[in-house]
Amino acid sequence: MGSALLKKLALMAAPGLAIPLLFRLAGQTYVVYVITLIFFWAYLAQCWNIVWGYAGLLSFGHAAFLGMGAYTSTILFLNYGISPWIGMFAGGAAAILLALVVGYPTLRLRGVYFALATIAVAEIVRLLALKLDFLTGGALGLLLPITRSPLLFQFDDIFHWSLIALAMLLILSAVSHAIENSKLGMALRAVRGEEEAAASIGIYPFRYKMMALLMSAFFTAIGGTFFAQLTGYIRPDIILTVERSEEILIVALVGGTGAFIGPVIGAIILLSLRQAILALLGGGYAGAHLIIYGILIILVVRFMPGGVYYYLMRAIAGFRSGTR
Amino acid sequence: MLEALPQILIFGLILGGAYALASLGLGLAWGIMHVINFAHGEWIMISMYSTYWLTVLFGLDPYFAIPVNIAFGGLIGFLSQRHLVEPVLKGGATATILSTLGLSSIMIGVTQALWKSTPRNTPNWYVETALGIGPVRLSLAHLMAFAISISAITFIYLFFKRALIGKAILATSDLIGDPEVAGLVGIDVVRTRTLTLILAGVSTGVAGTLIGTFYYVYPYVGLTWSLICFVIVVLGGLGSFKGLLIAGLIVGVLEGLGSLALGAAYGYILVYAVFLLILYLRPRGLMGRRA
Repeated sequence: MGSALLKKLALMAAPGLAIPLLFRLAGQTYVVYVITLIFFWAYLAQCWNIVWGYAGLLSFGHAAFLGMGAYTSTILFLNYGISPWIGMFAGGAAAILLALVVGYPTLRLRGVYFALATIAVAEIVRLLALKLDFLTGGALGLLLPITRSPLLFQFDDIFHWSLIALAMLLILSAVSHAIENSKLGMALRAVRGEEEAAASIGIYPFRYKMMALLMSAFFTAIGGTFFAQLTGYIRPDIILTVERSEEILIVALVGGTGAFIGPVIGAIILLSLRQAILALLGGGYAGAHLIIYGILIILVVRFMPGGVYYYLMRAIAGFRSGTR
Repeated sequence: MLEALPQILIFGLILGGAYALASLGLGLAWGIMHVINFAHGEWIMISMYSTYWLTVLFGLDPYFAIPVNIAFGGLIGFLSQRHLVEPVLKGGATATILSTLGLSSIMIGVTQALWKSTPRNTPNWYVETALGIGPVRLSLAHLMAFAISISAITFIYLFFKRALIGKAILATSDLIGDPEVAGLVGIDVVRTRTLTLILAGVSTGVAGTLIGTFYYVYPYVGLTWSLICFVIVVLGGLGSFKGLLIAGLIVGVLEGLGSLALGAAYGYILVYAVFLLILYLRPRGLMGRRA
């Protein structure tokens, strides 16, 4: 934890606080809601990026971790009255167990098999959530009662939600930064570069990849609880689908995965676009945002691998050296 | 429960034939080019839609859609190779996965914008005609799908074994041949890659038509099909026609057994669980060469 980190966090926190506050004071609560979603998606994309950016693993199943968090905390609250503030850690633990099931057979294999296994596990989770309807409410899902009690992770004012989302994002950014500069981060970078060479100097890929996966699963599940509390309603086809997982990875990859600010930029771009499409076309054109997302990911993969953030940084650096 | 077993086994095997053809295109691109086509399910989906519209709008027999879908599938394969796969090939498997994922997202979005999320059944008399053999009842549509699938797979197998272009394609695969040597002996590697994806599109187009005669179509249907095909290709093992066919039949039967044990629509749980088990125990599949 150096001053460099504090500076970066302050750079994120200051506008992250000021912008929603201004809109809140102006009475634009819908804008504050959209900003909250941007924070939330940036958070999810950062979670996803722990396994991709640091361990080089392409996960198509993060919706399952999200669902683990959402369902665990909600079921604990509805059936046993346990506050979601506590339930979210139970959800995190459940997601860790699931991550062990995914990781154990696949982390020794090539990355592609990991990607496919994550889809399979996520689909099993979705089908089980549909099937075990006595617990999960099946296809109808679960509805959280409105209590407006902060003790039960519910807030009246959307500005407070935006604060929670921002706090989550800052905590995760700090954790990402800590990983980047730790022994774990170095080991992961070595593993990403050349697995066999890493193993020859005593860095065993399996263990480090597993640690990255477990951490990512835990934080994603925390996000799941947040999502359940914010919307008050969870359903398999909202939270557990492959499309949901793909959205998370598209946000991360479009923004850029090399630094923790990348996913934030991705969330700003994609969520703003999505809201703009919604405002322009209305809800009637359900597929419109999928078309835009698809085009964006194709363009990024082909013309700016590394994401928009890197592209911008390079462009700025090039501009500076050009004017000198 | 036990008396349902012969029906489930036979039905699963018949269905598995169509599954094998549906997976062939995915297996070709993966085995020969290391390209894992994440739009594969959507290729199937679009030819199911084309079967539906040709049948409904023109009152045609659904099998008349086969030549249309062969042409259309080949075109999608060609365009995908030229604009989505070849330009990002140096980025490795991940880049092509993401590039084709983009195509999948676009195809889902376009079909959803055009035709909403309503599931649609292609009306035809084949699926309504049931044939009884002992305790087993099968629709004519399923039997036709099995027969046409097996013929198509045999045809493509012979193409690779006998035709010069087929052999050239195999030579460029680093699983079976060697791309560098292939280039040295004068094989145009880019052209063979294009041919591979055209062939993948063509076989997928035929499979989509067959599936469309007995399965409903909606914009998101491709996700299920992609996943089934991934399972079959991994289970069968890369680079083996025989493995692919056997894996298709196994998955067809597994799905039936799963539905019997867990209830209809939940049969896939068993399929995916077996998939994870295979990854753990034998990641190169039943008959695959080392990946």
